[in-house]
Amino acid sequence: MSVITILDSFDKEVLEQSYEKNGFNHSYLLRKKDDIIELTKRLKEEEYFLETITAVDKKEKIRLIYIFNKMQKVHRVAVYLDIDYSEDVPSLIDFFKSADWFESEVYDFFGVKFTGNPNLKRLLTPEGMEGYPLLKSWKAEED
Amino acid sequence: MDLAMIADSIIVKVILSIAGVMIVFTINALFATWLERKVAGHIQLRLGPMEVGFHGVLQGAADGLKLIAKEIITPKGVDKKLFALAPYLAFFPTLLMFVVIPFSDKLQVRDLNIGLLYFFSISCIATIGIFMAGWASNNKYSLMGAVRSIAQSIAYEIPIILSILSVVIITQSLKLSEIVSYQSKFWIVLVQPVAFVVYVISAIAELNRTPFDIPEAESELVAGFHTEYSGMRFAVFFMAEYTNIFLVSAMATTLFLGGWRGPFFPPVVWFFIKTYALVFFIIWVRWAFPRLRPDQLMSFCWKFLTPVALLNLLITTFFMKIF
Amino acid sequence: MDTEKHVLKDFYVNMGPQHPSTHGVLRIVLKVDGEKVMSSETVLGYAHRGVEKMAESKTYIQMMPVMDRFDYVSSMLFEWAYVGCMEKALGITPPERAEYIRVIMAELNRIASHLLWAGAFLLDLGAFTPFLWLFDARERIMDMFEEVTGQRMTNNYFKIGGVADDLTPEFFKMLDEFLNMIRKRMADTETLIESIIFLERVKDIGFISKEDVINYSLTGPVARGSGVNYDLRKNEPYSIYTRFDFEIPLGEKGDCYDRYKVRMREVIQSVRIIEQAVSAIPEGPFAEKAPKIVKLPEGEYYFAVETSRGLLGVYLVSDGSANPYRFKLRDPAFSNLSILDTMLPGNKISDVVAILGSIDVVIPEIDR
Repeated sequence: MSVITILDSFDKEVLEQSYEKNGFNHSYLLRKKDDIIELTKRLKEEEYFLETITAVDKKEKIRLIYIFNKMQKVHRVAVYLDIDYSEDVPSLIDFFKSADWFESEVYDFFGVKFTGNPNLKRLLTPEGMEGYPLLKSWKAEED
Repeated sequence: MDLAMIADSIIVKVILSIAGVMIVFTINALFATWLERKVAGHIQLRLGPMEVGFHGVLQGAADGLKLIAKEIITPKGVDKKLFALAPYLAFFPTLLMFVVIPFSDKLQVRDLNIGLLYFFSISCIATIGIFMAGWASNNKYSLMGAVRSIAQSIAYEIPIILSILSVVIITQSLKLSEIVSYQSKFWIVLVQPVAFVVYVISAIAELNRTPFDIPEAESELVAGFHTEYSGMRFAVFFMAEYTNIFLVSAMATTLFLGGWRGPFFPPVVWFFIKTYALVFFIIWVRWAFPRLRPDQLMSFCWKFLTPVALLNLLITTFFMKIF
Repeated sequence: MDTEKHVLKDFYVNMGPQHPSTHGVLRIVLKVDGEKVMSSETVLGYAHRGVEKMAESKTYIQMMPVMDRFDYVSSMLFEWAYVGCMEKALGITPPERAEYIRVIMAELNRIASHLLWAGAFLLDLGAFTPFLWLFDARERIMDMFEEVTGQRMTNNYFKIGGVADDLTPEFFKMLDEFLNMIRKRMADTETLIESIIFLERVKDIGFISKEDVINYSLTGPVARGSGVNYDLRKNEPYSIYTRFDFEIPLGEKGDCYDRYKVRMREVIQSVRIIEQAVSAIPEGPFAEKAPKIVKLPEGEYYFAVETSRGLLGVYLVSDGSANPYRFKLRDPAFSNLSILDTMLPGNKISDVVAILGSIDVVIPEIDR
């Protein structure tokens, strides 16, 4: 089953990106955030692995990017999710253990909380850090 | 009082003996460290020390001076008395062990009847010093190093004793001069090769040297029991190590390799040639092997070395009874 | 006697942040029972410099030297990922000669990284000699880098559209000497090290199953040690890697020994690639003309290369200005390290250094 048929059943928006130009074979923006669980489950059955999870601060919202890839032959699928600043997102830790640290990193930098991840912590920033540094609204303290 | 009487008096004998032991000890400490660094250097495709003296022969003296000049740091929270005492407790037994070593037929401080027993009993004291150092340092790594050291020493005492017992059964004596004179026709290593191998392996383990250097495994325990030591106290541990290498080699020479016996050269020269050949071997082993894991070390001792030594002892006893 | 009082409380050992075998400022909190590890917790962030935030206020070109500071032992592979990503966005293809130079330099860097790893790994196990044998070989690579790039590490050699400078005849002479000695040096080292003690230390510890490779997103030699055939040079060929004949060494069981063996064999495969590249390198320009001020067209770009530790992806989001809107590094050692906490419990403290060593981490790359 190809990724296109998997994605057929989801409410999504297809983004115009190509492997030659952007490095992603397929890019989709999911409209419902809970769909990510079902999608991940289906992709894992098709032997995809989770390459990374990251986010971009789009000024009105945060855009999460889940990058899946196949080991046998490159097939990089970027799944996007638009959320509000204070919104929680379901965790992928049940499917991929690597999501633990990926999600912690996103939480550390963007403050996105992943429900269902028991180890969510500030992974990289120093102890006592306030605010989420990769948000565009974050300003470094003046020395 | 004429000169002969002076030379005979006990005080002069003691002073001369102490001076002799100190000279051998000092020269060995300088030479063995230099040898180790040179051998290590050449094994590792480099030259080793080259700057101080001809090919760096005085490097040991330079290092000694540096360590004397360094501040002795006593970290917070250590047991000050034990911390200060430990290096010397690890070090002084090594000097006492010199007493029974027969450097030649005439050069021996004291030819005790139980020389062999004395030697190995004294050597056990050093372990207390090591444990004391680890315990007093108030450092988890030091403590773990000390615990490992105790376990290792207790374990490897047994194959050592078993292997030298085989020698004692053949020579029928604990007196070192008699063991050497027994070897006037052949070396004991020829009839006791297994005991010799067991002795050398266990001796390396007793010395805490690679591949048995788990008490000071620097990649796991930083530096083990001497993590917190600096300056001269560290140097004392260091000197104890090199003196011990010399001593176990000297004992192996005496027990297995015919002691000071040999053609052409004077006995003392033969003694040092054989001893330093073994010292070289121990150094060589260190730079060729990685380190064992503590549990592997233990199972190697209890499940392999001890049974082999015991079997060897049994066979030796059997043959001695028949012939 | 009141036994309750004499029960030893939980004994914690703090490995790091300053410890000889964590290779940088990694901290592992071990809960131990005697020599046995009961549980462990990896603590990151001691070398965190906030590079991803820093990138947003720097121009694209200003970020070039920063790329060297992540994985300082294979810096050119990191440069390649970043340069490749920008070239993809700008639609620039480097000239033939530049591609060959990149392959030669990247593979040399991979060898240097593996040699450093092998030396340090064996040093952790208590073997000092192979460390210096391999460092002698690595030193020759460093000399070659110095000859061409002017730097031993942090080379800043790759440029958009090519490389910064051409290879010199002196470089080829040194490369020739190096290629002549490296196979023998590797064979000698393996003979020296693969004694029973070493095999007892690394065999049958630190297993990683094929399922865990997927589960923990492991890549590079760690994945290949478990028999997962995943190497971007074959599975997602970039640059001119399709032109070379080389194999991907694979392990079978996924223990520390397999990971060690995979890296040792990879060195030889990299040597093969270099030999082919040197004999086929064409004459011509070493760099395409690139714009003075780089502005990527609006959009998102992702480019991945195979570093000596695995899949490295650079993700750039551009809003059309001279600074990246978002710069994200998907680095291999970050996910590779995440499996450590599940591998350690049940092993001895001595195994901790072997297992951590076999994963091969460079901390500034993880902490960013």
